[in-house]
Amino acid sequence: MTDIFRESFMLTALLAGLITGLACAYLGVFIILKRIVFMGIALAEVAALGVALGLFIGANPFACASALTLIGVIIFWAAHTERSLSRESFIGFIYVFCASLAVLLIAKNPMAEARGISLISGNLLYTTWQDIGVLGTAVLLVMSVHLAFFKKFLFISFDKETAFTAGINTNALDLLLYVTIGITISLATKMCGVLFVFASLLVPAMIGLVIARRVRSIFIIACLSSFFCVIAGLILSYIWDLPTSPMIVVLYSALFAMIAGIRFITTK
Amino acid sequence: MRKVVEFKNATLGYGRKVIFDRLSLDIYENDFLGVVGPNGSGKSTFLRAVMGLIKPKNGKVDRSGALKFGYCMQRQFIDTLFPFTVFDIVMMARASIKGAFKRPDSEDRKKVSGSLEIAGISHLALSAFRDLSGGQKQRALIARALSLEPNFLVLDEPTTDLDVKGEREILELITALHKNKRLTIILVSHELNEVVNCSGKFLFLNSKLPHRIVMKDDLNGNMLSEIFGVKMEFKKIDNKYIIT
Repeated sequence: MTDIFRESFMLTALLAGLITGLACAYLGVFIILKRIVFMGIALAEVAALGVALGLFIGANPFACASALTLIGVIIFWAAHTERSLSRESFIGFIYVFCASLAVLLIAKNPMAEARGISLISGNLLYTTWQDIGVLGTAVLLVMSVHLAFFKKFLFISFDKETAFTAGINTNALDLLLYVTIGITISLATKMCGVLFVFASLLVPAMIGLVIARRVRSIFIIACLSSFFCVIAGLILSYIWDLPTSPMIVVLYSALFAMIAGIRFITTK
Repeated sequence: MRKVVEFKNATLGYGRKVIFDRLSLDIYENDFLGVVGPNGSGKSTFLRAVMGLIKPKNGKVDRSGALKFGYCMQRQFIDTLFPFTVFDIVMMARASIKGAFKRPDSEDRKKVSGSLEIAGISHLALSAFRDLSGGQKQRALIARALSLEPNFLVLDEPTTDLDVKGEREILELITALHKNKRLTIILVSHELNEVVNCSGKFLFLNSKLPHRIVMKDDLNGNMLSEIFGVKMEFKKIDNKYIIT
């Protein structure tokens, strides 16, 4: 079985899948805790538009994705801090606008198809070592920020008002948390596609929530679920000759359905 | 007595909506201010302005530099999806005073244990917050506020939805904190009977009437009838005030 990963394209796919899966699984816990699940998919779509735009104008897709995602992050964050605006309406608007524009840009760009980029389902098998270098460095930076502010991120995500009264600069830290989520999403989307990134943000954290009895365990279980599904998904997609990202997402979903089913039966 | 918070003609609201127009109020050290009004009258807005969560549209809100707030938000708004333990929740507040990369140490654990003890829930430290009763949840939130060693405690509807026993125990705990730790306290409630025996000063809010600030000694039935728009009687029985 390990022979599969001797193939260079499978090894890069495995690394990209694991880095994205683990980082998103971890960040997904914050996304669920903050009740901003749909911001995750909207940001992934913004990143997808950035990639499409980069390819269309001949610029670096990573740079375009990151720049647009950071703008999206600031808009979502600002909408969150202004009571007279509805954050949900922003998310919906940005999602449909970016998704449509990305489709139009891709439709007019033969380069995108030639490079095998499918922004929705992604294609891990096209990952290059350079992609992994960029993603790995960014995720290391993101994790360093989380190592520094983990407890504060948890506090502001759980109860922002009380965190503010306790002396935390909640707006600045909230923005920092959004930026770490945005950077990860923007860089992962080019390789893995919107579907895989969003699923990795959502489903592993849901699995953690169903099983765990302590908050720390939610993070651990989410990352373990992602680790297992990415490896199994890549192996199965290789054996059955199926697209990798959707395969991993199906495994995420199957694992969640199985665990939630067992939990439902045993707690009845 | 030292002035700790001063509203100077402060206009409060969100967006274009004005909730308070030209509020002037002084809060002194060791005051026990009861804020009473029906739902939607702006009680929580007032609290947010006291703590600096919202800025006044006009006027000023001055706060003493030495203020350390302990805030107990409405427990109904606390997330119960995640299995945070009582200890986790109280320790969260300690995280706010830690620098980057710093983890809670034995001093923090000592403060958390001490706060849980004062709130009377040491035995529930490892229980999931979401599994607690309303009164126990409220005690956990009070413990979290106390873990920061505040000098100003702000409680938003701490007795809502509690049974009579739970309500009385929480009010006794708050009163004890006011007396023993000499905390300045703001207690928000929509039920005047709850706060009338604890507070010495009241802010009455009603969206249809101008706000009123009244000292306990000045309370009487006619005034309350006027503020609340229904006939009310104010009686003192066995050293306890009762409003009917």
